[in-house]
Amino acid sequence: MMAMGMAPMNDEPGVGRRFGRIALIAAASVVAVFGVGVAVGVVAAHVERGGGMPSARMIGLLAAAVLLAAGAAFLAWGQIGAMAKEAGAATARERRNRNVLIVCGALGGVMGLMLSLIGPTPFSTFSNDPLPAWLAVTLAAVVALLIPALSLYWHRHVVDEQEAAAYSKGALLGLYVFWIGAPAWWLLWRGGLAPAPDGVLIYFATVVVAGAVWMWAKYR
Amino acid sequence: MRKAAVRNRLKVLRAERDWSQAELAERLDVSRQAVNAIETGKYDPSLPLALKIGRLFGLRIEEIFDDGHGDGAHE
Repeated sequence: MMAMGMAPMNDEPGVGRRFGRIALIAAASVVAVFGVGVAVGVVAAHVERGGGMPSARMIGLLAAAVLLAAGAAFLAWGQIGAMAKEAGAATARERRNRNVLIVCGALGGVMGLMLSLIGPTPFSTFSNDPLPAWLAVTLAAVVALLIPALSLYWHRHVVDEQEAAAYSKGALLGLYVFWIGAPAWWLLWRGGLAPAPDGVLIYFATVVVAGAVWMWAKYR
Repeated sequence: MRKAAVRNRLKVLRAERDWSQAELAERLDVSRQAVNAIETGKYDPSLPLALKIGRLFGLRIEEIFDDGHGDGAHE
């Protein structure tokens, strides 16, 4: 047995705290995008109605939306800074991982903002409302071309075997959510017991489960 | 069937050299999370990584990892 206190043991911050921070960052990011969407929607609706002097209600709504977005962004940024401070000096592989995650986060943020700002309604980021063709083609191209290229780089040059195993675990469980959830919903719909299957909801359920399991397996 | 736990001496060996998890991770070209997961028995390294760990510490794999069936079971 070794003597206690010979060297720093577990340098990793607590799992619960890290999960809490990650959950806060994710939630705050969604709230920030939502706030921007509401603000733009309020302005767009005002312009559509012919502009003119904004009412006190509109100014209040706009201020609340901007404050909400700014507050959420500030909260997310603070949590990112705290996580970086807790983590200390990262290894070369971790720095590459962080860079890829930043690029993915920025891409997701820009795509979310575009959906919020250019979509037909201010709350349409995750809706099934129709989109302008040029926006649909642009975003689909990002999803179909840029994300696979980033993923390929991530798999080949960034992840180590422990994260690859964690990712595989998450991907497998996500796949089961799809394999089981989609036909179960479809059957219930055919039996008149559920609304028509929603591809977007099934997609999000798959992604959330895969992501949660991946993070759990990586950081537990 | 539940996989049998493999214990290891990585934390002890690291402490003897006064390395942080980050330093060991850098030497093994893995993340700190990987080192932490191996040390706490939550992840068993692949054979190539186990061999790399053995070479780094100048030890045979069985001197670092123990599945409870060898004659060098760790205390």
